[in-house]
Amino acid sequence: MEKRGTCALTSRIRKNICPTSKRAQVTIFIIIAIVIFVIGILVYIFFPQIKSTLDRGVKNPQTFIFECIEEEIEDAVEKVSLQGGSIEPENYILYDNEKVEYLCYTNEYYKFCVVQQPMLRPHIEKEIKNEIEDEVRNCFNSLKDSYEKKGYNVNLKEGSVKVELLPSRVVSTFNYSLTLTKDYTEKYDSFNVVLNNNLYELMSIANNILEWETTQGNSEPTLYMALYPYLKVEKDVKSDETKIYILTDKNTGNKFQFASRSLAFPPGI
Amino acid sequence: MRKKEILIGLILMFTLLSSFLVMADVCCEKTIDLSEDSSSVLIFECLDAPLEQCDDTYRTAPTSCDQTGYCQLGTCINTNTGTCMPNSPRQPCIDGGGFWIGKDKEDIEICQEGCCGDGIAFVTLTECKQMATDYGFDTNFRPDIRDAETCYALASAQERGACVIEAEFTKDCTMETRNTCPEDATFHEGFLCTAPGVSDCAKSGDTKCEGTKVYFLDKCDNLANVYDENMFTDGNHWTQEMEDYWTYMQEPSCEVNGADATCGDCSYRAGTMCKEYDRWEEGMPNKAPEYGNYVCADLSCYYDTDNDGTKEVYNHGESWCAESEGTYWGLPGIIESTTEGGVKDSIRIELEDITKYHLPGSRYYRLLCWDGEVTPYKCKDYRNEVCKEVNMGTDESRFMYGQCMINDWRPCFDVNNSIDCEDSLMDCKWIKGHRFDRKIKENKDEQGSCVPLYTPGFDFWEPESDAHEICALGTTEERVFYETGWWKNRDTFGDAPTIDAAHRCLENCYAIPDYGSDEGLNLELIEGLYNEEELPNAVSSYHLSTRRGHYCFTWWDLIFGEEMASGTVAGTGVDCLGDKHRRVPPLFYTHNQWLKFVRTRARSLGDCGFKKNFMGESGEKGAELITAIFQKLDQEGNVKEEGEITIETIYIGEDRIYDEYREEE
Repeated sequence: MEKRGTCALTSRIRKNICPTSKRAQVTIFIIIAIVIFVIGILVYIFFPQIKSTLDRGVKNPQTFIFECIEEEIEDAVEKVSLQGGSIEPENYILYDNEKVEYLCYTNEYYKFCVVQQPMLRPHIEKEIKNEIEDEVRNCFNSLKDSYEKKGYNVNLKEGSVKVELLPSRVVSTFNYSLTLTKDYTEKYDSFNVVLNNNLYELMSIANNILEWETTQGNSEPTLYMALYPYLKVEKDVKSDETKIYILTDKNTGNKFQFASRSLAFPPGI
Repeated sequence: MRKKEILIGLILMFTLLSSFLVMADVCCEKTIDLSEDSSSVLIFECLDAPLEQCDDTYRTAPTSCDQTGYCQLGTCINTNTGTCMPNSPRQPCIDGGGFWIGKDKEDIEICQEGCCGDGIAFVTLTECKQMATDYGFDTNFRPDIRDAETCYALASAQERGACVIEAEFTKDCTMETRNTCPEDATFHEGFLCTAPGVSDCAKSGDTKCEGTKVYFLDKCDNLANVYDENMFTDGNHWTQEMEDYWTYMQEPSCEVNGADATCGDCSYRAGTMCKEYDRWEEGMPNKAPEYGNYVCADLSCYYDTDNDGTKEVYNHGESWCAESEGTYWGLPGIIESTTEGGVKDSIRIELEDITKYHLPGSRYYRLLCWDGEVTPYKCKDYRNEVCKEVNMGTDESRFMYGQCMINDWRPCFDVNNSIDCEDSLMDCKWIKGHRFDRKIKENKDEQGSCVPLYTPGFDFWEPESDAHEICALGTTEERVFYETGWWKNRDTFGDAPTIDAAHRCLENCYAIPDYGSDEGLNLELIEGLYNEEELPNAVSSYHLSTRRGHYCFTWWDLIFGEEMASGTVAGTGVDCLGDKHRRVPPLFYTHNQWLKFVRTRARSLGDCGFKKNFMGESGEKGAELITAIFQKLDQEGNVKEEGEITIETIYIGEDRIYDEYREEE
């Protein structure tokens, strides 16, 4: 019974190749290893595309940008989500060390609040865009440097940055134009980074709560939770009747929180 | 007969002062930071505020924002998404790229909602178009459907079935509606992809959560019918019923009872929901499912509300009131359809304990059981809301509904009788004794004060607080008349022991410390003294009045008023003698009765007077003072100008100051 896998082949191979002594067996392995090594070197030299992908530190531009900016986008999305849609809120209340923005506010008693961010979706998109723009520029410059170090001629034209809140995702589009030339030319006109996140859904629910706040002075969390089984709506009422709403997608853990003060009563009504 | 009299006023007063500031507001296009501490930054656009709060680099107008062009309120429309946001100021809307209309949302045609995508959403036409693009479905907008319920009902009414695309050797199948099935495909309404001959998709024991239910999946990953353990087998024992279950779309015949691994027909409303099986998680069935890894999990909550160490079980969706320090736990709500419930007498009696309930800083909480988790929701602070709960189920099958309800206490002050005051719809309680207007009524139901049942909270530390005005209602003043001989030195009467003061008292004697509080006396005995009954010992051995004029009047009094009987009471009873008649008994028989009344009434008005807060910490003793003012009167009852006036504080908080006032020997 054969014990070694290499020689556990067909009887014909066994007959022609498999040696009978141990020493011969070792020689055969060395020869095979040399052949494989030589083939590898030849492939590396004569097939530039393979070489390109194997170059350490230089990735596909799309992958490079994704890996470079992904964390920045995640951080920006998380920040705006926890701060009511703004990176640096101007009217906020500190809640668990987060600056939670008032999206609807009145300083008076017995009055409905006035919506502070009537265009919430474009506002959030703009805030995320402003937050990541510098880092996007840095990432593209890093990409350029990286390719230039590898001997590429790089032509990079800066373009616009666009952030869109879409169902279950946040799509960032960078309209940068990149041309890489070495032995061949590659051209890229835009780059996309898609982040799986439910900010779109949570923001839509926040908009609906705001509509209740501004027309009824309050909203009932259970109505939303009954409609969306995977949604958790928490409402914390502060002493001055500021309400902090915390919307959580129980499946993904994504959160959106904001503040509102509407139809407030004075102490003792 | 005229008497030599000394007038003493005892005044219970609260030291908080009232002040009211009136500031005219202007419209600030943008304010400066209005925050009062570091916990917030408050810079607002379009806010009615005092001029000094406006950012002077922006516009201001001496009117309300609603009257200005730039801050006028209207509806802000996002023309890309179709979202319409009411009560939005003009300029911020336009600056944000929106289209602003100075009308209510209901009056704007493009903001009217309709049914989108055959029941997918109830939104505006533009929103529908945007969603159709985002999610990839046909718009199919129905403006004629004007309510969400009818709209969502459309979705379930859609004809669904197997949608089969045939190639030369294959039959690919997906489950679609007739509308979403491509034209070049064959639609088999009401059939599953696993129906014999329909497609290449075979039955499988895999399952999946869809919505809130557990569904079978076929080998092509299409949803089949709801999971039913008895409708699948790994072996060859397929019955006709099982075959049919994999042929036709149909409702399951199995029923879910609590956590269930055998049937996937979970009901979110009834408190079960599809979840991945995890034997260690709360709410999971005792055994794993026979097929797949999804089960109907029980969404009930286990929570120890009464802190007795045992967790009570609550259904998904059930809400109730929490036990929290300084509040009354378990206030009954009212079932509106039957007007059952309301605050029972036993609860009213308990709520009279002002040292236990509705203490400063206390707050009501509502708890909600949802998806296996208990979430607390705060009612409004300052007890502006109280939590009330009612059983919407039956005695056998309880389903509590708790709600934070407005503490509507202000109307209490408009009520002048006990019956209306303690009506089940009123948040008020009746305290026998003085009326706020100090009138004396023959009808006992009208002799008292109607005060809040759930004592409201105040921001009494703020100079502008309403607390000062409300608490001032609890201030009261008693004028105590004494009869003394002309040879007595009235200047030192204020130092006489309380028993001497009691013996000389004609009117409102209960204001004298120790009055009627002797050992061996009780309210019944004292009441009897006014009704020709006798005490165990001589009247003069107690802290009680020995002036006949305190108990009796003459006919002269009826004609001209102010004329009481003269002389001293001797022995154990009161004999009015001759043509004299008995006076109406006073409102309070003892000093303690009076003290209890003035304190209870004052403290029931709100966070007034000397109270412990909900943490058990004592408040300012000086918030509750009783001060005695001694004045000599002339024969007409007027204050004598040359007379000495002495003012002494006799109570601070609940402490009596013995060493300064009428010290007993």
